[in-house]
Amino acid sequence: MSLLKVKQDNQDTLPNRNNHDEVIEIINNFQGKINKVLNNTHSNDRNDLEQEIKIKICEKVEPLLKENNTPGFWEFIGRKNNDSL
Amino acid sequence: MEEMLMKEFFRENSRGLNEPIIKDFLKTDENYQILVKAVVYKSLTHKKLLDERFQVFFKKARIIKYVNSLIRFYSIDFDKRIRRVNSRYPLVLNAKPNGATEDITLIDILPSDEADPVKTLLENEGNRLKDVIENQHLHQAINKLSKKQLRIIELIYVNGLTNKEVAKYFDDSPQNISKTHKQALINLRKNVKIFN
Repeated sequence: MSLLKVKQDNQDTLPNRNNHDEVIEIINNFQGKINKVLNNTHSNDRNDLEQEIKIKICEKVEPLLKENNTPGFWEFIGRKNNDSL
Repeated sequence: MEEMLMKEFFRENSRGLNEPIIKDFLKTDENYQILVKAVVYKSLTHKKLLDERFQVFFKKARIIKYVNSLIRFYSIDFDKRIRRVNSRYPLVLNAKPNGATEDITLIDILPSDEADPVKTLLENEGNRLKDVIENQHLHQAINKLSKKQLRIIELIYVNGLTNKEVAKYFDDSPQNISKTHKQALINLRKNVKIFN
């Protein structure tokens, strides 16, 4: 029983190939924005900053991609209709 | 017919459909056509399809917004951190220290190796306490002290070292030095009384 659970947990935490590609795509899409904010720091530290931002994005986006509580279309407009009543 | 149904649908759900994210989502013609099919023909498969497509779209929008602000604020924090580290561990010595009002550089306020009091003492042991004591009783009492006690008394009273500095000299703890110092004074007082 417990072994089965561990196995399942492992499956959840193993890096999903699909998610990896998505994270890389997001990072590539944001390259321009990253280049722009590199001006916020001294030219000596720009490479460090670029690397750290990319690490941060990987860390933060991976769990967001796994998240399953996104509302569907009908749920979303239904909720918004009720919100304002 | 189709247009009328859509108009009614839009009227009924005006608030929900006026949300910016929904508007953006329906700007794509494909999504709009699916919505038309779902509303007009009440097709369940299209309803489901719309749900799925919206979920993907919404997730993506959320992540883009999140990453956008992450990049912005992270770069600002990063720069602050680097500046702080640089001010704490300066790489050049001829810069003005932080918050200095006088015209000095960092190198001016660094302690010099040559002026290390402990080192100068090691090289110069000329200030023997016994040589300068004139009182005979006190001189005899001092002779009774142990070697270490005598050296501690000398360092503290002749050379004006603090407990900590003496401890560094002997490679001992300040507590121990303080104890030996006190004991030496007690012994001195006792011995002076005896020789009197």
